[in-house]
Amino acid sequence: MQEDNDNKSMGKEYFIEGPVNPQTIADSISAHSTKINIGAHDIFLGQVRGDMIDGKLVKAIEYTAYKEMADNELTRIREDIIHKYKLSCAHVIHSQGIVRTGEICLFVLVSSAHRQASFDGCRELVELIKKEVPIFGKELFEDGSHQWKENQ
Amino acid sequence: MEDIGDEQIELDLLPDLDALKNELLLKYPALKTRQFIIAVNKQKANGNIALKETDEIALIPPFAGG
Repeated sequence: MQEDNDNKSMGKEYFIEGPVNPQTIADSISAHSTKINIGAHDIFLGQVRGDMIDGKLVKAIEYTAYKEMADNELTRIREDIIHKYKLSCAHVIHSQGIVRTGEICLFVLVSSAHRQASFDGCRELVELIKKEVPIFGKELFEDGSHQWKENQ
Repeated sequence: MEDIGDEQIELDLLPDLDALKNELLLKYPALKTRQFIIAVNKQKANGNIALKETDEIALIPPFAGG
């Protein structure tokens, strides 16, 4: 089984400052064209939702992470999922700092020989990111107030 | 944490995590109303564990990634 090395466990950077640019996603897809063992990709994109909470609209989320632990957890989770579903590769990019409503805050790309492994691997990877990785979100409202978000 | 006002604190060595929790709740009663998990040296701690002097303890609020 060939494993990808751009998302290597040593020194991997999962976090970027601000939103995930759609161009980054396009470039990541293109980068796989030489990997001819791949037959399927599954992509998950998390987008900041403009929730209305007590009459106030969320205009952005400010993300922070307990960085070292978050990096360790992401590496562990990603490697587990690659092995479990025999994936060709898996990539995770998460925002830190301010991401406005409608912008992308999480990009997950999972690739495999056949579609079922991509579907299942991507879903489980996203669920684990939400459950196991110490990332925090401060919902910023239009009136300048804020509240801390909690995953459902 | 916003509630307790301090980002980093140093405490005298306590024997284990339960003792530390009690000490923190005494010092910062606002924590009683808050949900958090505890990490020791950047790993989620399950149950009561013995502590060493140089351990880094983190109180971690609910996750909101993605």
